[in-house]
Amino acid sequence: MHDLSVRFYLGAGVVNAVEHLSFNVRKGVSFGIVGESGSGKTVTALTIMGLLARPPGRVDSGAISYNGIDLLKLKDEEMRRIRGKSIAMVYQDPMTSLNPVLRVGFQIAETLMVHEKIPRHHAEVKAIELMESMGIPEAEKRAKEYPHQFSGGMRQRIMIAMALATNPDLLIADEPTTALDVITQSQILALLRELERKRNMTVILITHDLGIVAQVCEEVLVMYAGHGMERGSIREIFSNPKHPYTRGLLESTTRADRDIDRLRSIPGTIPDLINPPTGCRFQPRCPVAQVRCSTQEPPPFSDNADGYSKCWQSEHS
Amino acid sequence: MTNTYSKRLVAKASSFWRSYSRNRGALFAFFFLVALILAALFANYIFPGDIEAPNLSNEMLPPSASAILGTDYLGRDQLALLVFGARTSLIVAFAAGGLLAVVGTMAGLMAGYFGGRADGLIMRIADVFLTIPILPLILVIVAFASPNLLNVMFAIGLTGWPVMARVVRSDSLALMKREFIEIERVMGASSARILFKHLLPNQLNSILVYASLSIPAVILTEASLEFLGLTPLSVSWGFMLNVSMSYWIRGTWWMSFFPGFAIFMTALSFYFVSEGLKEALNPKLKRRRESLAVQVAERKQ
Amino acid sequence: MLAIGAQLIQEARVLENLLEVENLCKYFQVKRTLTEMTKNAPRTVKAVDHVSFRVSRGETLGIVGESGCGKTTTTKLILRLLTPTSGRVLFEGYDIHEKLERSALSNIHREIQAVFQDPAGSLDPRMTVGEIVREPMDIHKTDNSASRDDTVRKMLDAVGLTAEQYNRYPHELSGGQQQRVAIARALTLRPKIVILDEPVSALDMSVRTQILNLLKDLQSEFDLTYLFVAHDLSVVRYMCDRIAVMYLGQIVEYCATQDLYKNPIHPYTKALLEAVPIPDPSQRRSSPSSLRGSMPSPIDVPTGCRFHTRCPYAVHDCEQNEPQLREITKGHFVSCHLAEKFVSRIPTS
Repeated sequence: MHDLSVRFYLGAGVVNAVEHLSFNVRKGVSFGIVGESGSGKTVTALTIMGLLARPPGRVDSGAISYNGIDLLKLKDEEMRRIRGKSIAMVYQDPMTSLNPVLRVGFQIAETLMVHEKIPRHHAEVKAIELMESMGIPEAEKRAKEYPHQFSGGMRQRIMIAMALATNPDLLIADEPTTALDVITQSQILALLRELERKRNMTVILITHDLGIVAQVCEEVLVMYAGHGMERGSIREIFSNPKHPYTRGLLESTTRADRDIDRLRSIPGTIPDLINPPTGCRFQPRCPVAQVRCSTQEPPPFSDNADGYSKCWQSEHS
Repeated sequence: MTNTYSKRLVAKASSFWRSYSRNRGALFAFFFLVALILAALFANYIFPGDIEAPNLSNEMLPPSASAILGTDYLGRDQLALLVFGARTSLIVAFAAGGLLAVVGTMAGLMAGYFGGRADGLIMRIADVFLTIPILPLILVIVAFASPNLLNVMFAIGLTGWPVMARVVRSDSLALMKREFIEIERVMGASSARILFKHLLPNQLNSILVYASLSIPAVILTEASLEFLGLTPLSVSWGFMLNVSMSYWIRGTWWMSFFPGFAIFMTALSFYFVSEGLKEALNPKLKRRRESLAVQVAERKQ
Repeated sequence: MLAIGAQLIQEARVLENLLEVENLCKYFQVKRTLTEMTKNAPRTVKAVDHVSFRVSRGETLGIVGESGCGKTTTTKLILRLLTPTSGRVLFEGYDIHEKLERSALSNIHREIQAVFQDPAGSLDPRMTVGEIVREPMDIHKTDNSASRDDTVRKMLDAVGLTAEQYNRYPHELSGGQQQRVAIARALTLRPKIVILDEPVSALDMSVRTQILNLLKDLQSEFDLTYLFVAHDLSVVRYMCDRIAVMYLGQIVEYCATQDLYKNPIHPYTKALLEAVPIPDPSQRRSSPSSLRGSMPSPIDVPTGCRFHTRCPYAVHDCEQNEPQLREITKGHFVSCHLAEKFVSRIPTS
């Protein structure tokens, strides 16, 4: 992704959802996008998938290069072929993403019928196989059931089965476990890791939970207010965070594995995307902000191939 | 203490007026209704003499300089009749509409708040009233009591409240599930407080909308009653319409048009006023109307 | 002499335990469809089943569990929004669900307050911030109008809001600010105990810690006792002194925070702790949770120990008999037949 900017043109004003975002994802290296609400992470995912609601939203600049093709330049037809076949997405709430009046097995088979053009009977058999590989017990019997007859964790597995039906190269998972309880969450995350390994697939995991990212991903992008603030390997980000926002996040996260007397919180609130702060978006809340931070937006400074930190502090490292 | 209270009231009233007047339709409608009400009040002074007296030499004259809206089948000046007729329509509108709104709102609030058996009881009573058709009811009333304005108002109000009650009840039920109502109960608020300070204000939208829709309906019901000749009240728009139908063939368009137009304008005005009220009372819309720059300046603090 | 002594001890105990919940049960009757009735399907939801715990003055007790475990129902029973099917809720020694006279009831309304999960939902959208924070004083008619406004401003200041926000409406504030308003409102009448039901779950991460720290500061400033209900084990570790873990309406483990995280005994607690993702890449879990199946529905509760259908250590006894909450080590209560076997001698973290 290079210099992507996405804005929403609403009656009340222009929402700068994503601005000048650049990052790369390597094949087979699980990638995490971490951010709070308003960070632009979901908009980024939708833009990659070509699912951005075009009337209010507009891609104002940038290019998304996938296997050498610029996704943003594709026509709707072509994008639709790629979407679902090579790039698949799993959403947060399985209840609203599954059609409540269609049988589960059929919904999975439908993906296969549309993209791979195989006849219905074959598709349904494959669907059952997929369900089994996702760890759904008694798959053959359960394929005839409806979404409401499954638990949250099972539904999410069905969503993943649907997404993986066509053997995509890239899977984008947007907060896939937020609606699930902790134990089911760990099972789904383990499932994702296993699938990555077995199918030689690349997973982009979008979440707000630093713990999930630490457990599942190899490389991380930290977003804030529509900007990519820091990108790096998982070890770098957690042991040596360069950006003050990343540092602030880590310092303010509650931990179940250690006793903390007092956490340091980031003061202030997330900025208004219609009228964001000038210069660095994080500057009003930054503990080490300098004068130029409020007037000049820092470019991403990097000291190695893929990692970077969008902060004036990182200029000389 | 009373000083600050009255100051606060004045400040609230003036800001309310400012918000309300932003909606030009509502403003215009408001002035129209005020004019109508004033005209109805002072009809006697505007048109002295007995306007109901037939003037057979001037039967059914089209609009002219001496009779701006023409004359009716008895030669009476239509403008005068309309203004006097406004009295009837407005009284019925406000009284019956008010009765309907008050009874319906109270019933709905009680049903929604108390739930359970109270809810069931109130709704069954409402169902009974829903099944009573107006016309036979009026006939019954006419048979037992005199067909005066009061009874007509009563009848219309009685048949109209159940629908309002339903609307208020469903809104109340939804609100009861909201957390801020639960917190009120935790804090020890009395039922009356929750009903009137929290449930009611948060439903003003629906209540106003429904009330505004019901007033035109009330006016039309009253007009139809007159039209059907069930309650010959003195002068009213419905009655004028009624009569005009018999003379339609003769091409006396002014006899039907002006009363009809009056009904239409009044109903429409009530609707616009309620829209204006809705907007003015909605705290969420309040700020959006201020300029964007002011908003930004405020937010940055 | 002895009688007076015993009475003094009893009163001391009562003063110590601000809130006491004894064998609290709340069962709901569920309407069944015709087919369900013929199949003799169960019709009672045992949302809260024989729950007992105590909250001492000045401490923070946490109740942790997944959704459906009964923690929210428990808070509603304590706040008198629901009446118990059986059992008692004692506040300062008095059963709050008994028929109370007006002054006692009014007292309870002032002393027990709450902050709920949805910041916007708990504020009346038609009231300004100032009016919202004044509400408890208006309800109980404390002081007079002028000093009420004064108190409101002081409270706004105490929770980190500016005087300028006095006239704002809830929808103009951010989630964190809305929650601050809710907290200010809860503290206006200087309650003794505040029930917090997932107070930060709906907030962004950077705001979450602000609010948690605020709650901690306010606790010492206003001498408060907290009952903190949450599903997030990391938050609970930060905030609480003692913790009760709930599963399907029952408490399965109940001990000091330190003990819970360092020496968890109940298999469910251990599974939960294993499943929490730690923000530390060097501590990666290799295998997923060892729990089988998923949480049963509260309508169809398993026999014996409710957890036995998912427990990796379940034996025959677990299916037959319901375990009781008993003290395994000092101050550490567990509801499990095999509890003694799980007591580890070596602390885990």
